[in-house]
Amino acid sequence: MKPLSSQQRRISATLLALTMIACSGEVARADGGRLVRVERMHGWIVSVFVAPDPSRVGPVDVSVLVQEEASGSVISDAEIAVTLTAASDAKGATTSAPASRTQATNKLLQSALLTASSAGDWQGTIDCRVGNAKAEIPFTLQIAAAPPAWTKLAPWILWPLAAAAIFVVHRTLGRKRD
Amino acid sequence: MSPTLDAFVRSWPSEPWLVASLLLSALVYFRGWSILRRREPPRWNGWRLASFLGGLTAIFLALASPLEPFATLLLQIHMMQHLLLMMVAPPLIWLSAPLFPMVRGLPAPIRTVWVAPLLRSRRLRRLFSRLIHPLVAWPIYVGVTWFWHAPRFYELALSGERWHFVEHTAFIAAAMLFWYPVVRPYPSRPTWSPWLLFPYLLLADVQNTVLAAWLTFSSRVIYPHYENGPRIAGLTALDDQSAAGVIMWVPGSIAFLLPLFVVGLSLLRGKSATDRRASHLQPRVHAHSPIGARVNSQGRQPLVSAPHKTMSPGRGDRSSAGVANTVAPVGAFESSATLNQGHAPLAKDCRPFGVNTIITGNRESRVAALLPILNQSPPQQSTNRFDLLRVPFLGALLRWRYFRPLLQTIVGLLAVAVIIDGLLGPQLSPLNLAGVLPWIHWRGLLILGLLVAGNLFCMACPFTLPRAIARRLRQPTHNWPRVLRNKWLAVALVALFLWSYEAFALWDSPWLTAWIALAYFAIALAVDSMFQGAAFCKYVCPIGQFNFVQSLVSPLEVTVREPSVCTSCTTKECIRGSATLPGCEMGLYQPRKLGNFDCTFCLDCVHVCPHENVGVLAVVPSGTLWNNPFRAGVGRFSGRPDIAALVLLLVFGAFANAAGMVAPVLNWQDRLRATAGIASPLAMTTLFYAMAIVALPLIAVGSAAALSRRWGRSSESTPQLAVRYAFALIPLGFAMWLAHYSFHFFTSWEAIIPATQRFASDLGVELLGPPAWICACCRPAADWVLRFELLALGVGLLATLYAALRIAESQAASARQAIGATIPWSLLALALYAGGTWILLQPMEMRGTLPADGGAVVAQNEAQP
Repeated sequence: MKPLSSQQRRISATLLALTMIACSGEVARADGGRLVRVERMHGWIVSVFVAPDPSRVGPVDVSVLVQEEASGSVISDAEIAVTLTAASDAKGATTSAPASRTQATNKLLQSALLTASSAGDWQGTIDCRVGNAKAEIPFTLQIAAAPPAWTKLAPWILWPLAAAAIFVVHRTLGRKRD
Repeated sequence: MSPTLDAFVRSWPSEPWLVASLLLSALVYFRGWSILRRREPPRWNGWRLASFLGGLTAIFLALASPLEPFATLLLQIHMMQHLLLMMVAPPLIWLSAPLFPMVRGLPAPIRTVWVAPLLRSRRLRRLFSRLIHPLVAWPIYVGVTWFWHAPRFYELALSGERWHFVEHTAFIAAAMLFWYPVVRPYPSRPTWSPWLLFPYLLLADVQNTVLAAWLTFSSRVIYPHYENGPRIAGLTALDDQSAAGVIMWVPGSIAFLLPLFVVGLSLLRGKSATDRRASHLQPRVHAHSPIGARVNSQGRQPLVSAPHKTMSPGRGDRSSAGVANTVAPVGAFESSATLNQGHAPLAKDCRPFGVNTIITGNRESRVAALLPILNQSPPQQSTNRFDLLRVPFLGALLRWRYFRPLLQTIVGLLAVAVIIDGLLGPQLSPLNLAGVLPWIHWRGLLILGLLVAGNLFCMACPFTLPRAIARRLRQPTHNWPRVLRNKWLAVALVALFLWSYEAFALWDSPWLTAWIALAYFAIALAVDSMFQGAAFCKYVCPIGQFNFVQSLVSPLEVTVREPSVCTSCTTKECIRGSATLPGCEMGLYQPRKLGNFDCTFCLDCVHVCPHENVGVLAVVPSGTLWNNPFRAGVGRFSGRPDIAALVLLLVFGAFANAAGMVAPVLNWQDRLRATAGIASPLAMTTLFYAMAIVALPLIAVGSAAALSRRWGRSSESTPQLAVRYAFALIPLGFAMWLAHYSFHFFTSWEAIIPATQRFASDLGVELLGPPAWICACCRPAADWVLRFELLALGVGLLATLYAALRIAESQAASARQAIGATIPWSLLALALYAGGTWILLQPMEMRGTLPADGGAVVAQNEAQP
């Protein structure tokens, strides 16, 4: 391979650095997901989104959009807390977290990342406070069982087989050609 | 700025894989474009590059900008995404004529081994040429557009990320096919009339207008998703839909009608783009190519009647050896194709692939035009290879004669600290330097060093430092016994070490760890004080044997830079040494050295060579495994059953060592012990290791060799085949060691902090503060660690499969025999891969760290006298 010129090296290094920076970012969350509830109260519209869809045991992203009912403009200073309680669990496992814009990719939304520990019906609650006004918006959530661990990693496990298959095709084509 | 707009401009999603792919594509294109531009600046002008980068930017904006998170809230944003993916990115990418730059920008091995056969494939070429025909590309484009705009499927795409991804992929693929006939990127030579583009683009615009009008003028919301969603910026769902329709209508129409105008203008001027290219190239062909001289004015006769002179397409590039004797410059083939369009085929003797290809027409000639690029083999001159010794500063440091002693001294001091703390410090592994430094950090760094460079530990080995000092006082006089001049002793010692590590829980005993280090110093000094050369390193040291085997897959090798210099060298200092400096004490004569086996990276050969002809050069990792030449100091791999045994021990040992740490295997051992009535855990461990590193390799490798002999119809005996193919398993074994050791290193590297603070505090140095025990506590492994492990294991599997195939091909008389011989070894490698994957997916003991309630353990330990 011909050695790269200094200019090419600089450009390559810059691109590689950019790639590394791009790859080092946190995985995006809270683009919205499925709309599970729209509630109008106190002159607000509260929309609740849940991702992933369908939700499974493990991390569940709950995003909330609070708007003024009259104008549709976003209320940016709303304080929001999200609570999930396992309805089907006798012990009533509960998990709660404040929602914030920093966790959301879509900065219109406020997002909270919670963990659903078991499959079944879960009862969710959005506690929303704007100034002195408060609202509590309930919603229900069906949590499916988590897939086996390996399924999440299946691409990482099976990729060598795909690469080997491509190689076989490559060799076969080459041989036919010869 | 309104809050909505403010939120929009700050909503950048993180799409690392997409961004990495786009940047990599840009890098490859830029490299290829730079090379091509040096040869033909007019064709590869800046607009090409700008066009390609513009196309990539359009994809980035569509998928990794605020458009993406807002697409599920506003249909008009979603429509802008589609516009970028279908009408902006594809034509820009085709305008950059990406084929040549992308192919030329790839590394030569990928280009010649992988891409060339695919581009040569007649089936693929035929398929592609059919797909890009206007009568095919148009229905595909329109079908995909309408299909995904049907409410049912549009809703499906919005229901989840996967379907959304499928929708976008379909859009991009269909649009790439659609725009190809319009742009006709170089070097395409369409056979259909350019007049066909008129109805092609016009009808595309009509269908786009119909769809856009449906969205714009509909009195109901077509997609329920947007009707149910929140209203953003005061827009109703119907207003949003109308705006989306307008976006689709106006910019969409411009995208179709503008090229129609350009094509029309060009046709009205009486010259197609193809003609212009031909006229542009013709003089150059006459000037540079023998083909050009033979082109007749009618273009109806075969243009080439005999293989023409080989022309290298660029400085330093060569046609692949023994393959392409008839490589012509790009322009030559292209011009032949252009002038010969629609007439007689090119001459049968024109075989640029070096195979029995009969080039019969335009499409073939298009591929033929690629050949000089495709067939350039990677340069084999060592002078062109990366040389670590020529890296600024680092190279100078490595060439400095006292660098190695300095490294050895530093590592030696660490070893002394381990010994002192191991003997005198607290006997709880996570609290003691001897419990964390050797078993977490040293092992992790050793394997990572082998992965990124080579045998770095032997370079910094502290155990040979006393030897070097002792030899200044007295030179040894004895030769290492002839009967022991092999690896069998080392095999036994490695097996003993693997067994004792688990049997005596060495990782959990700072005291034993310290004694092992002390014993290492003592034995190294004793052996090397008595025997000449580096007998301890070559025949005894188990760590050295581990490094020698694993470094066969490392990317760097100590080797000669320019073989011709060695041919003329008469003094041979690299092996004999000079008056002041030693030669290679491992008996590796540089000109005949191949691979890193038995090389300690001591760099004595580098220092002593008067021609400065020894470097640390880049090699293809694992590239020396399938060759079987005579190697200096080693001989032929096929004639060394002792080395093969060492290899198998380390391969199966990698899996056994990791398996011994996962809960299901430990539970299984307990159950077996209870069932069989074996009271001693030691006996169980011994049984486990006897099975895993002795019985299993014998059975598995023996069976594979026997089947390989039968299916490959080999004339060699089963043991001979076992010895030869054993080396193919090294990458998989290395990958397992890498996965295992790097797991401990990545998850527990912080454990060194409190152990060092405690050690310093015990010595009365309070500078480092009180021990931060939280750093010694067991922590869950990050997601990426497991992915890294699986990635490593996958790469190891592929390298092993490839090495086995290459060994089979070097021995078999036919391709069928080679495949037959490879299959059993592939099955064995797949079985090991499956086992390794299963092990990695199990919860692993976090050795050398405190449990989650580590504070209580520490308090209890400190309360004891």
